[in-house]
Amino acid sequence: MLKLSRLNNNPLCNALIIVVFLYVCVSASYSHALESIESDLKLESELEQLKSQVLQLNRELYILEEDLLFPASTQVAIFVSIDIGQFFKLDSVEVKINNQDIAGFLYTQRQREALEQGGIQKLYLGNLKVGNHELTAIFNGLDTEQRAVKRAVNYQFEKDDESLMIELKLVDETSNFRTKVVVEEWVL
Amino acid sequence: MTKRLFSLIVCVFTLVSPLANSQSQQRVKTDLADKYYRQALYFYFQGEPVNALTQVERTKLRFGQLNDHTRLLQAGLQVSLGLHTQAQQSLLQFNHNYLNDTDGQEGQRAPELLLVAQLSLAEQFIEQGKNIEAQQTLASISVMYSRYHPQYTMLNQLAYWPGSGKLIVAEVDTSTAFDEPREDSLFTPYIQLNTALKFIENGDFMQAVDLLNVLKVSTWFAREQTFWQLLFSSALLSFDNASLIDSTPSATEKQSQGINDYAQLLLAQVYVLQEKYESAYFELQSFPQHSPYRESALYLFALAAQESKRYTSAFNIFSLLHKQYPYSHLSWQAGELLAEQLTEQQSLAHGLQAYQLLETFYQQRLTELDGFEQLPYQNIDTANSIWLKQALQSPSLSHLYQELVEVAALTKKLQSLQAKSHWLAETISLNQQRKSLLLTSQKHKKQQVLINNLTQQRNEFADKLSAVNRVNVINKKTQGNNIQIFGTAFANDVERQWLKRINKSKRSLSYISKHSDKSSVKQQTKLTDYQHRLNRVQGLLKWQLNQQFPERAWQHKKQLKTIDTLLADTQRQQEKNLAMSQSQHSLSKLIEQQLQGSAQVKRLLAKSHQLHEDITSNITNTVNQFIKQERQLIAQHQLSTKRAMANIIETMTVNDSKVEQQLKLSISPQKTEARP
Repeated sequence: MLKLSRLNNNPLCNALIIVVFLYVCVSASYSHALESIESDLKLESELEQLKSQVLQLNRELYILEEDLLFPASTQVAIFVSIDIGQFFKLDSVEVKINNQDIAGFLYTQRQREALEQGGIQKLYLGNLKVGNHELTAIFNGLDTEQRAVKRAVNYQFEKDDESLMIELKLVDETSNFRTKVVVEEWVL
Repeated sequence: MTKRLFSLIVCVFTLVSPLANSQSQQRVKTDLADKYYRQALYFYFQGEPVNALTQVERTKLRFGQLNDHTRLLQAGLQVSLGLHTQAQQSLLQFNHNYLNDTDGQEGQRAPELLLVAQLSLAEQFIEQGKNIEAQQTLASISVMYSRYHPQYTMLNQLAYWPGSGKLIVAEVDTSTAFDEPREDSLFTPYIQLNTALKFIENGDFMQAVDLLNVLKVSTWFAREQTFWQLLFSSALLSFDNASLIDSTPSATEKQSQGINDYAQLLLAQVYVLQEKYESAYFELQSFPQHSPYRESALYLFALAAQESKRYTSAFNIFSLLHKQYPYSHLSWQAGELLAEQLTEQQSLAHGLQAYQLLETFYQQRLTELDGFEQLPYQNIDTANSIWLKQALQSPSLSHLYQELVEVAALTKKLQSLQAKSHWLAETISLNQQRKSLLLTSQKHKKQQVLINNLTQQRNEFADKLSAVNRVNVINKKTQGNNIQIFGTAFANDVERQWLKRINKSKRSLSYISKHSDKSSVKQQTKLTDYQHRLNRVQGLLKWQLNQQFPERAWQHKKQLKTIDTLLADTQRQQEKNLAMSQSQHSLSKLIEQQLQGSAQVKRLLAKSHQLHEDITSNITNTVNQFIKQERQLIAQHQLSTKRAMANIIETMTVNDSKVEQQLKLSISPQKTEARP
């Protein structure tokens, strides 16, 4: 496309210069280019391998940490999810167990959208003694008319020597255009 | 005694473990695989692909295998993180599992997922230059949805490039509710641009011109992409805090404008190739000023102007290009074309001056290149050089720098993992100490002996209780409602004291009666009176005890049941503690894992340092090569400039000698005439 002529008044001379120049450049750099491509590919492969190994190590240490700090016999995890989220724009949540604050979270738009798109957030992971306990969750947010509203739930549960997982679901009720909090204890 | 036994058991149980009551209620099992998948989704939607992938891997560890959705998500995340080999393996595995489904779930599985996997796999093959495999993968597609058709067509073009790709999939399934008609999807601008390029390559300029004329004025709107298309999209590579895909109206408009501009530029190039310089000139007259293709368009515009003999325009545009893009190869060519035009259009002196300026310009570039060579350009943060920016226009060098940044990030991550590994080692050590303390305490307290004693006491108590109950039943049967003294078994302390006093009084009365004077009426009357009073008190007490017997018996039975539960739990916890004390397995397994992790961190750190060195070395080589090529190109331009200058000087000399000769000729007759 680009015009390389007009460099000299003699077209034949120009062509000769260009051919010689290209030949010198190409022949000198061809072997180097091949080596360079091979080397780049090798590096890319090594980098990918390293990345994969780092991810694997990260995962193993994460699991090790969780096994060590939160053994199944005392482990309790609390999750938050949103079913549609049309009537309640989630802003924050506070969770108490046996009247003691254990977790609180202030949501960004992106985090709220992540929940509205079907994601489940692990809000809290901790340890709890075997026995009967009481969980209280208070969700703060805005309703469809941008008024500040709260939705709360109180839930009695029993912790045995298996890990316990509780999901707090904000579910839209089309019958009254409100959102209610539903507690689901996962059956393992 | 019951109370004491109860309190003792509670005390021992508190020492051993908290209360644990098993729940026998039957409940439906939660779909944990889905819950884990949605946790990964939460991380993904937040722009945390590493955590999302970790979550997916944990799901795999927990369940042994992944369901279709999770496996596809895994592949998408691997693509996002640049783990192309693993992504390819995941997709191959997905395809294999789907096509060899032996669970009879085919009817329940979404064919859309298979299509997504096949398209993504083909894309991976194309990226790795494996076009045959890409063609085979595309050929294996049997179901197509209109939303994926443009992607399929594009991949097909790329897989068969530069040949013509066969569109094997003829059927588009429009039965699904979400699917849309395919009319406009076939004609996405990128596919049209590729088609136009193909026409140009084949020398079919007429068709190319027709297509580009349509494309340069058409408006294009980005179609909403499905979740899976977004997942496998390379837009996620940067993981910035913006939205996952920039689909804002301004971005869409920019993209649409960019396509129009490129079509216009391509059209002008076709005209230049056909030597239709007038058409090229008019085509580029309306080219947008702020287009990303401005530099190429300026050069082409100036060239078209020069060829169509619009010398003033050509001069101005070449000057502008040369001034605005001093490091561009097009600009260097423009400079020479400008000097040539000056030579031809104005004068040799002007031309010579322009060439001299060009020579100085090239000399400056060479000096700058010498300076750039000395810079620490391996560190992209410190080397802020215009020449580095030029060098980074090479995709391979840019890729190397990207790799260097990634290695730096990985090294940082590894350092944080090393710190975590140390911390885990300390935590394990603390746990070991705590465990040994617990074991010592357990040995000291001899809890099993205590539990056995309590169990024995409980059994004795239960025997007594059942004996009392048995006697009570017999008594009820034989005496009807006239319940006798058996209620004394559950008497409280005060009542027991009373019963003791009554018995003592009875013995005293019996003794007095035996040794009293039988003839004394007064004494006998008193004795009878005492006896009656004692019988009344005893009767009242027995009546009271019998009244309370059923309630007290029930309470004792209830307490016995509670004691049984507590004893069972205590025994279970004790056995658990014993098992834990006898086996070091759980903690030693953690220690082993920690040690392995620590060793792995060291290995990977060494590897990352080595990789850093290798990439730096490659960058140095590539930059050196770039500098060498730039020097060669400048030298070549210098050579042509010198030649042009030599030609001008030669022409000037010739011209001068001609003038001189003419002058000589004109002077010599006068001289001849002057000589007599």
